[in-house]
Amino acid sequence: MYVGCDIGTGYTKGVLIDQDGKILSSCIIPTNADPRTASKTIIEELLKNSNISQDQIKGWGSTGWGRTYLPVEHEELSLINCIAKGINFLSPSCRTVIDVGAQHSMVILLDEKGQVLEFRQNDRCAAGSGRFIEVISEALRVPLEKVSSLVLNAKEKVNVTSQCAVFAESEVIAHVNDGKPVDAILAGIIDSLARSLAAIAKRLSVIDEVFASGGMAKNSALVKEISRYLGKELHTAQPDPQLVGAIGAALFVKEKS
Amino acid sequence: MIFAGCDVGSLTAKALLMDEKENIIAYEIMNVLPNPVKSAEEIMSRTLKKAELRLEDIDYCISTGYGREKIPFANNNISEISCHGRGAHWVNPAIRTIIDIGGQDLKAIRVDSKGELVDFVMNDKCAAGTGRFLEGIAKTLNVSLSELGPLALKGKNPISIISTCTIFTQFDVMHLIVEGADKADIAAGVAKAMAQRMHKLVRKVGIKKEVAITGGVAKNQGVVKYLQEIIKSEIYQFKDIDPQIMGALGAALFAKEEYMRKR
Repeated sequence: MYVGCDIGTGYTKGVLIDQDGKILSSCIIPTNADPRTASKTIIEELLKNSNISQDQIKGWGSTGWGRTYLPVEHEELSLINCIAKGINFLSPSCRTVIDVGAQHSMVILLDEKGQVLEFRQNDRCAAGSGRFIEVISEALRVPLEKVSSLVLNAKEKVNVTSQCAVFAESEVIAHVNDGKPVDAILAGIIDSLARSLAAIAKRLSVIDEVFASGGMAKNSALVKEISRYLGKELHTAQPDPQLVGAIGAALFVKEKS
Repeated sequence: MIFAGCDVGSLTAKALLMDEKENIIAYEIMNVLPNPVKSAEEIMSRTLKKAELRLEDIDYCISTGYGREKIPFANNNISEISCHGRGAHWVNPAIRTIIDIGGQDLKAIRVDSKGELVDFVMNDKCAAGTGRFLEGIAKTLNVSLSELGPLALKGKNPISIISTCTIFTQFDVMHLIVEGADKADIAAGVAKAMAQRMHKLVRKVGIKKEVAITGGVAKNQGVVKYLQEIIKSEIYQFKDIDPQIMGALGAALFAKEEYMRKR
């Protein structure tokens, strides 16, 4: 059995797989800027949920921002490679991945064997990342998990011009003071994020089929908007888009052993 | 005669009154209200009250700052870049370079020996290096904005801050706190990062002595210290007058000038 961990800036994800790549157990918890504690908890949870002991694990793969913190002997892997590996295993027809995490967004092109052909990423600025929505939903006092359904039911869209998350926050507060409805403001925010993500993707030649991964792929309003800007169907990685990197990490160590 | 300058920024509103001999009668600074017109009216009424004057007593008023076009009682408006340059140069005529750090923007301004604008660069697209940046960091460190400067001066080993983005830096700071880093060293690292960012901007207009720093962030002694180290030169610091008032001061000086010219 093998464990893959993806220790991100937002969430820490872990999967336990068997020799055939079947997922025996998975776990997602907030990192809370504390990758040591989060990765320790993830290991405990994975083992507890599947009723196995630590010595039964043949290999540990770690990826993401906090990958060095995994408190067992592990293989450190690049997130881009792990996402490519994971998506190719889950959906072999995938040739383009759009991955949006808390503090990064990336677009990866794959060949038919799942090898990385090319990629673009933004990890410098919150404008194209999940934090952008987090900052705005906090300012609007809307729980993050409610954003998608509010946007999907919104009747109008308020144009948000600031790219910077900090300035967009002020802009959004000004819109609230002007009496603009919260769902319309959120629709504008999702639109702005989708547009910048689609712009990154369009700098590469997007190949079908296109899949969304990362925590933000759970926001179906965002996936729908990106799809509209791309003019292509955007599938959400299954069974859980947030686990793709962790699955890839586990598959790498399985192959190595 | 009474001349007024009114500067409504993104975070604070400022107003200043002076007489025809360019004596400053009164000035006030406050946090903005949601509406720029209301902010302007409130800050002007506070300043007038302090000077025991009424709005009708003002002979000419110029507004500046991001809400400058909407101020009902202003006779005219002038860009904050010209106003900051003019105000700083009036206080110390040796000043040629002004670094102004506002709530939501960062500017480097060059003026000539008469205080007139020669060149400027500005960043108002990204919060990195602005007052909002420091505000976010102060919040994450759980200290007030005014405590951040003294805290930074206490830090002996500034921790290198890698992210540029305000939001990402806040996360880095959270992580550093979890890892047990000294808050003073974090504050020092943030001040240093901020100074490096300002240096990159001011280089574009050329650093000509004297260099002055205006705007709210000028009050952060940590940032000033590291900026002096990086540019290898003393920075002129406003002592008897608040560095945040330069825009309103410049606007009042322009008000006097325009009034005299029109007469």
